[in-house]
Amino acid sequence: MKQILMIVFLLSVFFGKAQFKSATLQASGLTCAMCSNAINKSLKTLSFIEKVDADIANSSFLIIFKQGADINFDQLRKKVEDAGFSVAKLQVVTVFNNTAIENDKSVTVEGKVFHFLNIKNQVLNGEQTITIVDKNFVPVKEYKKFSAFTKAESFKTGQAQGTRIYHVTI
Amino acid sequence: MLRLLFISVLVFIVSVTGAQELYVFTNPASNIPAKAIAAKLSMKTMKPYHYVNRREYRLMPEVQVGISKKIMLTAAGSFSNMFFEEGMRFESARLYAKYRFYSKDEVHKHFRAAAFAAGAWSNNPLVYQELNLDGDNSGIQAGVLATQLVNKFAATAGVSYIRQLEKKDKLFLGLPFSNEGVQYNLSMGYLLFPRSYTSYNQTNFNLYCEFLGLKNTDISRSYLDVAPAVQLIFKSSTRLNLGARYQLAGNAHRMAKQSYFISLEHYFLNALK
Repeated sequence: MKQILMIVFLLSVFFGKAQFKSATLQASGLTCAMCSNAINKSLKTLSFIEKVDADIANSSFLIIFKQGADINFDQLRKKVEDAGFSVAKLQVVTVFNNTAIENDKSVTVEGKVFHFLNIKNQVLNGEQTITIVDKNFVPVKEYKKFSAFTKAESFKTGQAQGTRIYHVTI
Repeated sequence: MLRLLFISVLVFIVSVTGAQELYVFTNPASNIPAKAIAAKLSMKTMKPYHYVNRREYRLMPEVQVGISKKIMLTAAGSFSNMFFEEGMRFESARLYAKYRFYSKDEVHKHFRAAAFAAGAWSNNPLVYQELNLDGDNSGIQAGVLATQLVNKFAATAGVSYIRQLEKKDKLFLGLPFSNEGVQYNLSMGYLLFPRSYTSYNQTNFNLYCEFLGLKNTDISRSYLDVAPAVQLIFKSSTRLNLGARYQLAGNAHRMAKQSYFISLEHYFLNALK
């Protein structure tokens, strides 16, 4: 019986691991396919990306992450900026497993520290879409709006004790 | 008459509907993407005023490099049979750098500002009061550009100081000699096709109308040109530009009051590691 419980526990840890599946990135500042193509090709150079599907009309990109790869959201942003544009929105589809989140508190998900803003305390399960609201991940106006929801110094610097903190909302 | 009609129709279309910022005769405040290289070959042709019926050509190969998201460099050369030459020969080389210092991006909308500086060496003697670094003059130029883009329309205003480096009138033409001037432009572009994007393989058709001017600051000469152009972009990476320049007003001594322009350019994205 003990052994079975142990196996169930191990399996749940194994399968229940949170995971970043995909992201929808909307870029701003562009209207032509040439610009969109520049971002598209720039994103594709990232090693943790499996596939990019571009929606040219809405200047947005559906990004599928490689399974088990270390995802770096800052690098996504940098690739868009290198192409000459800005990130207007970055939504990440994440599979959660019993992750308790509290408003204005940090939680570690898949090795990344997420600080949730403007949410109700809850336990997340299954696929959820989270939106990064850090500086340069949203328009300036939007960033200012979210700064009203926290006093955390990390919202200004993006860091706490040398660790990258992503500020997110649901 | 037909030409006037063509110009007014183009100006009308551009002013009513509002394009894009990949101008044919000037630069926008935006840069090419970081790590990208663009190769461009242009040709300018005109019938110079000092021959009865001779067409002259200038070929301008150019390479643009996106150093970072804010800085791009351009190196160009030119070959021509202009300036009383019998055949085509190498005549000039130019370096150009642009720094985008301000950017306000929104979805389908942006405002950008940039500063640029250029230097050119040219083999040609000083003949004309029109000053440019496209092959005519050895000189330096520095200025600022601002671009506003909203949906399918873009407009850019630019102003710069240009100085040519000849010390004297070697050909003794007896015309007032000019060393410096202010170049300015108002450029507008409109994305006509596709009406909506579904793929990178769709051919893109843009219309442009640019006003290009120079005011010599040491002598009282100037010109103002209107320059309509069309542009086709293939597979979101290759551009074909066709344009013309017509003098609207001015008293500056120039090679010709009208000229035609064609260029082909290709973008190699992520060419630099």
